[in-house]
Amino acid sequence: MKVSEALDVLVSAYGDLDLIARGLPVSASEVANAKVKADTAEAIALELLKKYNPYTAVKETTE
Amino acid sequence: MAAPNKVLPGFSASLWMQSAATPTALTTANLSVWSGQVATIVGTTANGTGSAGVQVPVEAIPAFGQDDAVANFAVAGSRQSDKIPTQSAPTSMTITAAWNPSDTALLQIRSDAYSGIVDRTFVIAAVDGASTVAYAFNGRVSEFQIDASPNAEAKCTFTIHPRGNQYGWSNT
Repeated sequence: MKVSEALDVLVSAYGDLDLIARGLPVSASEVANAKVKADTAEAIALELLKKYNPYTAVKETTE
Repeated sequence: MAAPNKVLPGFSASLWMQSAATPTALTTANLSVWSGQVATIVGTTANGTGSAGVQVPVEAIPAFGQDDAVANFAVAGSRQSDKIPTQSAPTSMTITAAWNPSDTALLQIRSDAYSGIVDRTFVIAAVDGASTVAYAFNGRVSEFQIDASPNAEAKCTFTIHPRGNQYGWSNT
């Protein structure tokens, strides 16, 4: 599922957002790179997606 | 939900609701958004725009939040039992207002109570100067009563039952 689709689901939902966000299959890296305007419903939704899809960039190491 | 990032040293609280007869309640995410969402329900006296809202003339803002809900467990031989929080319902808000048969908000609330299926967004606004902290929630109204006792001014009481999980905090 695209992040934009997941945001649409969360923004239009009337239920428990934590519960819904937990079940949305999104890419953690896409979530980390997503940009939305502050003080909008999309910003609230993106924070929830970030909460349940934490992302840590993999660092390349040389041996 | 996003927590408010304001601390008001002293405030006055007021109750607002969507004014349309058949409103579209704000979605859960929008209940936490002040600009263009919650602000449209809150009037200018509480730093909103009031374009889609009206004030409810209540005597006092009742307690809001959630009811207690626990499961009790006991283990044989153990001195203390255990209480585990479980799914708790939102607190129903019983409100008293001076009955004015010309007041738009009270007539709308009475109409909602007759219907029983109207979901409406309500906002409790705490105001201190130019700062407002708003608690917005969706709810349905029931139990509307008018007490026209001759030894006091007429008053009406009604109960708002907040819908589960549908609340949000925002601030200016």
